[in-house]
Amino acid sequence: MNEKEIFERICKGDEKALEFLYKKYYRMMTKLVITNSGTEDEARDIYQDALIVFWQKATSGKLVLTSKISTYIYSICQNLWRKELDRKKRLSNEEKDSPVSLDTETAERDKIILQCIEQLGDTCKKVLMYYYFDEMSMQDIADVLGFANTDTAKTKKYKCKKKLDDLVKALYSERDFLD
Amino acid sequence: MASEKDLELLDDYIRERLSDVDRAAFENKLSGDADLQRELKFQQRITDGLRQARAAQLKTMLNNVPVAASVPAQTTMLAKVAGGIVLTGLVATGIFFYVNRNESAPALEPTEHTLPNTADSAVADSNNTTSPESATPAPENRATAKSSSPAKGTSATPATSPDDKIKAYNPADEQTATESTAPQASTVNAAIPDNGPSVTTEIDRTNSKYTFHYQFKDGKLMLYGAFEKNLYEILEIFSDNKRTTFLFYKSNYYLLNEQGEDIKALAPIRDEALLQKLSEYRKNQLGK
Repeated sequence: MNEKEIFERICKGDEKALEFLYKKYYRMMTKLVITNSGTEDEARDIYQDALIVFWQKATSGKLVLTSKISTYIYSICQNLWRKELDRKKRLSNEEKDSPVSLDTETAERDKIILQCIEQLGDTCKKVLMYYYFDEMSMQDIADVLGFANTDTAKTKKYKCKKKLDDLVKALYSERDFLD
Repeated sequence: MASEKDLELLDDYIRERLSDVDRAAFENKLSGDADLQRELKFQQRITDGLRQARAAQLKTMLNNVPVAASVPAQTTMLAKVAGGIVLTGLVATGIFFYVNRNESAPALEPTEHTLPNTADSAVADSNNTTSPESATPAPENRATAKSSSPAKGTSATPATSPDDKIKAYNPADEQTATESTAPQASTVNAAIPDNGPSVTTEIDRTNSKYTFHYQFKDGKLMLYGAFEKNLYEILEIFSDNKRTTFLFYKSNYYLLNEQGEDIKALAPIRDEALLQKLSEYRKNQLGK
């Protein structure tokens, strides 16, 4: 697979192409973190996060590549690792006895949403994730999931979203979370 | 309650798909509609949840892609020990084949005649395989050792008497004899426990963040992920009173680093020589 082919396949939401890319640049990208005082685990984490950023931008059609894929991902890795080092530095400078505020209600609301997503069927989950995270076009969603046309994809998305909204609202109502 | 049209607008607003004009108009409408503001907050939360779930899904997918582990700048002690085992095993294999050939072939090549007394000069010839540092080889050194010929490999042995038993390194063989091995093999003088693994293992299948990870904590080994019952095995090799622990699961071997209590991802071992040794060792253990 050449660069162009990989990029085109990723833009269409081909996860196999993403796996191929992950393997291809694993050493190069993780080395960046490891040689800058990171561990293997941190390096893997940063590389995966960078690749997910790249994937999201590519599938949403928001990315126009003007450099090699590796150069682009490398720069994301650099930025993410710099941020992580800053975060670590801030944490170590903070006083240990400073009060930690925990927004348990927000955490609980988020947890409910994740639980409801889990309750959806596999196709529903995929349709909604492809639409809201990957931001794929209805045509690409129809192609990847084998729907007859974009209208089918749109209807499916509408029904699945309604189902998710209803599930969450029912649980929010139970816990008195509805504003 | 928001209308279907409002919901579509909300969707496009959250996904930043509105034109500047449409966005301004929508924000104008939003500012005077408390119901719509509440709905926006709700939809934003659901969208965030879906994005979070998808990112986690992609991460899990990538975690399951087998990749060769990078060689970190600071190689861990256990990795060094494992490397030492591999290197010494290769040297010992070379010795084994050399000695066997010596016994069966009366017509020896000239270089082989010099074997018994060439320890010192040989050390100078092949520092990579004989120096004490060889117990902790860099990957490049391992590659060198792999490509060296058996005759060269034998040069690493100190002057050995004909009665000395030299065997290719096999962890299982070392259960009985640990004292009589050659000095440079001391790093792999192993004592294998007779019973099962000494470390207690627990599995956490419910953790959503760690899906194929492990952790040593309070003397216990925690495995995170959907490990199938009775399909994993813990292999322990003792070397110089240090334990090196490996996990065998679904045809793959994983090195378990006991340093620190942090949760680490499981990465399959790819080193062919080490895999072969582990496979032989496992077979021997199963045969008991």
